[in-house]
Amino acid sequence: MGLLRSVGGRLYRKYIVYFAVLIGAVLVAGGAIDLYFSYYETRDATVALNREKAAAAAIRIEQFIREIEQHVGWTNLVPRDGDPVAQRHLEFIKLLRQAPAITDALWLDGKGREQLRVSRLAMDRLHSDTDYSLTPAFQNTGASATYYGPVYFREGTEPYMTLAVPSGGGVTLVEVNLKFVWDVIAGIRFGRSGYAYVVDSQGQLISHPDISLVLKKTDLSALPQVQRARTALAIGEPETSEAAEARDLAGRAVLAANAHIEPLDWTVFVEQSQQEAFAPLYGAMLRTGVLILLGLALAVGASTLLARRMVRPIRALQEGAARMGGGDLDQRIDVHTGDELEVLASEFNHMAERLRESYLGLEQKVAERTEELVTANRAKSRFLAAASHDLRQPMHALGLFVTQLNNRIKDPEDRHLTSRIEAAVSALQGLLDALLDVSRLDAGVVNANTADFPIQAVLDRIETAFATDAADRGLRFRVVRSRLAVHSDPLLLERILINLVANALRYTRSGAVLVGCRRRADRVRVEVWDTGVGIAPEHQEAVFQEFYQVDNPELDRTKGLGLGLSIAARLARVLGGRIDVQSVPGCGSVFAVDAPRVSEIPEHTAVESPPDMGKALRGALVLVVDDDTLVREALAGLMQQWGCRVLTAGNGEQALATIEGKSQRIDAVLCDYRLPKGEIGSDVIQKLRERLGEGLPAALITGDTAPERLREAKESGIPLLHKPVQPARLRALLEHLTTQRSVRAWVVPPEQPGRASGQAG
Amino acid sequence: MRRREFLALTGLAAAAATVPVRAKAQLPLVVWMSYADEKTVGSYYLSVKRGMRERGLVDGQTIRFESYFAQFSKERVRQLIPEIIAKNPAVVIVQGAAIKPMTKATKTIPLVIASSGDLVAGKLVASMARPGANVTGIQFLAIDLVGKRMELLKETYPRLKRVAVIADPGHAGETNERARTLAAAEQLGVQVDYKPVTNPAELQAALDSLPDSGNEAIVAFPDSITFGPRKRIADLAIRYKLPTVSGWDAYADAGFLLIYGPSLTAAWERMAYFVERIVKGARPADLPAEIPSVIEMIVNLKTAKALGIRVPETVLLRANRVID
Repeated sequence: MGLLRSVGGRLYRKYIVYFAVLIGAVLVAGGAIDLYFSYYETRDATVALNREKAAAAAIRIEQFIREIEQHVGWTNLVPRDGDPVAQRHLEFIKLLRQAPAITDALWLDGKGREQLRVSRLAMDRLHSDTDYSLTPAFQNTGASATYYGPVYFREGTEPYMTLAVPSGGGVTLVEVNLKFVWDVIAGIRFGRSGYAYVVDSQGQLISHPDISLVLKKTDLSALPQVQRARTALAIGEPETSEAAEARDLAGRAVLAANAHIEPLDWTVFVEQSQQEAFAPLYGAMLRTGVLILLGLALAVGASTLLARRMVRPIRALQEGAARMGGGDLDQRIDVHTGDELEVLASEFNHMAERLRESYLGLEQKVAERTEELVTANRAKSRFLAAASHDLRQPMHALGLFVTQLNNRIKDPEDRHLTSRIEAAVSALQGLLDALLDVSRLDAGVVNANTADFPIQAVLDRIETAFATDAADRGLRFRVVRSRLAVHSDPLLLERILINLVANALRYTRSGAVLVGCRRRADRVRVEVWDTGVGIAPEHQEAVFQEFYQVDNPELDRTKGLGLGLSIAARLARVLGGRIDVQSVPGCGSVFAVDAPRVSEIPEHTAVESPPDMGKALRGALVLVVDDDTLVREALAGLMQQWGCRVLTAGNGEQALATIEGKSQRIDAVLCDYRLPKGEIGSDVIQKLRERLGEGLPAALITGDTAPERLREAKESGIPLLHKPVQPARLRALLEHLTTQRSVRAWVVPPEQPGRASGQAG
Repeated sequence: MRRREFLALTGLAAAAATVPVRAKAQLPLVVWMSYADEKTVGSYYLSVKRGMRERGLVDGQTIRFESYFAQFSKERVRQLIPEIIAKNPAVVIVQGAAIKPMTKATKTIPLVIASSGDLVAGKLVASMARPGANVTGIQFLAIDLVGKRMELLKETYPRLKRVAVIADPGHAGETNERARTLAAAEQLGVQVDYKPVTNPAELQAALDSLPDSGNEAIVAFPDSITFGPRKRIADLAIRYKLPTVSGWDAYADAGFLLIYGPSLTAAWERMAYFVERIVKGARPADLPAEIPSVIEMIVNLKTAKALGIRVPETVLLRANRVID
């Protein structure tokens, strides 16, 4: 899911980015194009406006000069009578009053000699005859043309210009203080930074709103716009490329336009800082920027929604497909987008449906097979149960009788005979017990009763049990001592080892059998080594099946039944482990079982020992309830030999009748589990206890091997013996009952009936 | 940020930028420093203040303005100068005989001066176009117009043979002025009785000597010595039947026969231009010293009548104003 989500997340982000970039790009491009055109429009409009202003300023400056020229011209309207110089003196005085920009006025006669000078600063002068004939002002003044001299600076600071007009056969020459042009120029201020200034043909500043620049004789010929204007004039194409780069004296970018004042060869510039000129543009940029940001935010929002709508069904598809992949075929993908995705989803659903159908078919077949197998197994169990119950009743009686007989016969030869009979009966019983074991283990009525105990306790008993047998077979038998402790059921573990060791001895013709323990991490592994025939690898699984025997094609039953390993394996499963086998044919085998290891070794763990047989039952009064007369007699005879007094009854009613009037205390009751007319032993015992008291010791005996029947009996909580009951075990139980000790059901290894009984008794 | 908020914020920022919020103590200090007393030069002082107000330089709002008058005491000038320098003013407007000691005392504090003398000749500026140091200001065309005034006097009073010239030798370019006066007088065929005066007492002495000196007219140099007692000079001259000429309109109004010179009101208002430029960061070295462009001539016909003089037409034609 993590992978899917991350893929979905990537796709989701990708969509958002795509949409946002697309919309953002459109917005930015639109804004940029808009700004681009706005920029040029603003610039051109500003320059055009500035050019208008410059042209207007040029006209006013020209007018200013023309006015002076006009005033000078009026001095010619001198009446011709009287002293011309005195007349002209008066006119010049008037001229200086009328034209404040004129500082000095001179009249030169036709030879270029000064006849009159009137000045604002200097004293007036008449007929000085100073020679001006070589000055450009005199030489360049034509019959009708006015002379405009170059700009010069008085006292190194004040801009002046000489202006000369033909007058009365001579020339009137005036010096004009150009500071007065300031009044014209200073009037042209607009906005915060818009202003006009005038330069002469050399780029010398003539007039500027900041008069100090003029007084400093600032040379502007280096400014790009001044240079361009001069170049344009030189090639006769004024007013070109005004929109190009222009800077003010401080180096700031400005938008400049100019107009040429033709007669003076001056140029008026009108400038405005680009920053101010483009201020509306900056506003527009700001607006555009804000709009782009808003647009981007909207784009991101819209694309988030859109991406979610697009990605959600895809994600639903992914998750649905993943669940289907995980086996959930009932899953249906719910996508209703009305497009290809919905079609895809329905294809997925269709596929899941088909898969589910085919799985259902398979499952049904498996269920049918399983049902068949269960039925077969049940039939087998029923057969086994029935067969063993029906076999058990006579075997039970037979065993009891043989024991009595054996006790009674004194003749050694007869004794030998009865011994053989006893051995044969024992073998039969072993077979039945083994079958019963398998049945019980399969029924799951055997539970592990675990405790911590030293493994040596079990090993000791194994050694004791098999030392003689091994010696009889001419085999070396060794049990290695161990100080390890385990957590297990000591009795079940012992039974597993008994089966394994018995098995090892049986299949070893020469050599040795060794039992030892290994420490394996937190477990203890008990191994049984032999130098026997060994098991081929392909048979190593099969040896744990019932009735499987290696090297016994003739089914010689003196070689056992082939149930030992099968039971050992089942017991190991009850303990939560398994039997491990390693073997090389012809060399030998190692069987091993393991158990959880515990660290501390309890010194004297009570491992339940077989009951002490030395204790006498003499004088005990035992009530036997069994519908089978033979069994009743056999049990009674045997127990009487042990010194018991025995009462018998065929059913519950008889039993109650039997005890009626008996003053002596009943020490124990032995009751068959299945009695005539559906009566159950546990009910009989219950009735007897009601009569004689709850503490009445009792035990059930049953020939049933059906698992459900065994469970019922076990649930009654009354000790249970299985037919055929071995005399030794019966005696142990009786002793226990009479002393109120608890006894566990004791299952004997079937292959070693003699030894098992020997061990038990 | 939403658009409206954004625009509102930019608007606020712009408003904050255009309104300087400054503590009063941080306002630039403009100092007026005069050799004379307030009564004598009060009208210049008011013109400067008017000019500054028109240019947005208002005491307590955009500048701090302090004025000092030495009361015609050189000693007082010497005392005031360190005091003023210690205040580290943004600019000092210096007038009259205080100019020389002040320009000697500091080469760093910007000084704006108004002088009747020649700034270049008096070594107050390197050149008119580029003053070059911490001093700039206005030159009142005193020297240039010396001859012109004498010429006009002669033209008005053609029988003039001897003239008393009252001048303050303390102002810049005085020597040059004197030479030009003598040269002009010689050209006009007039004798000059040069009377240097540096304080009211000397002026009084000079005036007291007039009746017996044989002088037929008085040329009073327009400066802070003659400016205050101009009315007294005019009255005395009328009493002694002496035509008077000077440079500034106030002299004509006080009863001088004629004046020829720059408009002093305009010139003093122009001083505020220098103050403004310097307060806003310009250096005096970069501010060209200026010469007044407008020269006015005023004829007082009342005085003429009292003196029994008929002012010729050539003179009247030049007059920008006639008082009658």
